[in-house]
Amino acid sequence: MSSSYDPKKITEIHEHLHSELPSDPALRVKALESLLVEKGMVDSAAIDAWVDLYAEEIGPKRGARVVAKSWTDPTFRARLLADGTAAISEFGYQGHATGHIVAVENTPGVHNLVVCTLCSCYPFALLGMSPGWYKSQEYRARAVRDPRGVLKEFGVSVGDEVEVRVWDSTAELRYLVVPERPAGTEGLSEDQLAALVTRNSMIGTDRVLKKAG
Amino acid sequence: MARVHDMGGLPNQGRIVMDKDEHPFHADWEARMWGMNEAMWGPDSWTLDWWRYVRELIQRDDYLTRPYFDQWMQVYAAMMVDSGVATVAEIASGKSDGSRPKGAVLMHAADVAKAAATTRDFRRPADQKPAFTPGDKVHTKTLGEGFHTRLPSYLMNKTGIVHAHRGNHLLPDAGAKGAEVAQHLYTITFAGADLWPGEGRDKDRFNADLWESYLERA
Repeated sequence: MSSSYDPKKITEIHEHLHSELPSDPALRVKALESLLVEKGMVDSAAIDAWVDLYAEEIGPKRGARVVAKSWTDPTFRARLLADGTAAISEFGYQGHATGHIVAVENTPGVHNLVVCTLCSCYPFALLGMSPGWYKSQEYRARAVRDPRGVLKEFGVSVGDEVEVRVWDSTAELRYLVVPERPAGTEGLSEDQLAALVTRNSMIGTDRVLKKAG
Repeated sequence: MARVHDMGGLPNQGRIVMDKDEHPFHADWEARMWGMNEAMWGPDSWTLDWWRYVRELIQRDDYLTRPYFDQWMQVYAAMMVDSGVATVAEIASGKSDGSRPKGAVLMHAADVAKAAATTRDFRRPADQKPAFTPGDKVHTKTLGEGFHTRLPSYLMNKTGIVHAHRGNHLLPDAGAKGAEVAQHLYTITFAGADLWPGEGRDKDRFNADLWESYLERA
């Protein structure tokens, strides 16, 4: 099962597929699954297991726990900033697209924003499925040109004194934004703190977390 | 014609449409397609960057208008046809002509938990020292079309500063041709004023992870 690595050949195949496949994505995907099962390349029960895992267990709550721990445990925070993959592995959160996690911290003077302009790279095993807007042309185009305008659309205003740092995921590094701990949360447990951390705050499209989630 | 997938910095874009539905999967077919991608080990020749390149080669209108996971379907379909695993007619009908690829390894449901907790390290041992160190001023090259690269257009022919050396990572440009070649990888920081002069981005910093062959000393 070799591949040609030939863009001309693939372009022709795409044209052929474009004219031969049904238009409805649901029909196309159903046919592909049936075929892969018949070919002995995919087991439908394994698909079910993956979907269940990412619908139930693996999601942004994982990232939120990591962030909450970084707020309460300075030595963990130091480990997270030094080697994100090793730090999340302490939770057993290593998995798909988390081989090279880089944690970047927000401060009063810095706001971080993550994008993948070339496709849709995202730290799946840490944040779960990516939101639709993250994969949209508008976000991919604008995050690296007008990040403050993008943030405004998400309801985030960053002052002129704040430096915005954008991270384009062009390699296999995956960025995790560590938002600031909200003021007035000194008495909260790690679990309670984790409940305050939004998914968007770990991508960078949210900044000031609310004291009560 | 510009690379359709290379969207960073494209002008005249509309507002970002946010999802009202925050469920991880919006439609059953999306979940099935995503799960198929995860549940298939596939042939070794289907490298990550060959996969990406096959998606980038989808016809422009399809890339821009067809749903995201539908494009994943088309990537697998195209790779299967290219590898001789299936014909277009089989893919259109969902019915096999009876041929089975040799050497396909099936992932079973019992394998999923372990597979989902397995991470991939893209670093390889280096036989050369990194050419650049943090703080160095570098200039990005202009890479043409007709092959896969992870140097985005908006960062071509620009000057930046090396923020960090990230190790010796597999080069996507080679991976898309089935070759395993590693190069030193760096996070490069570009000043907003340099990327977007006159657009009021002077306080912003733009970072990207770029391989050594994309860079020259400035």
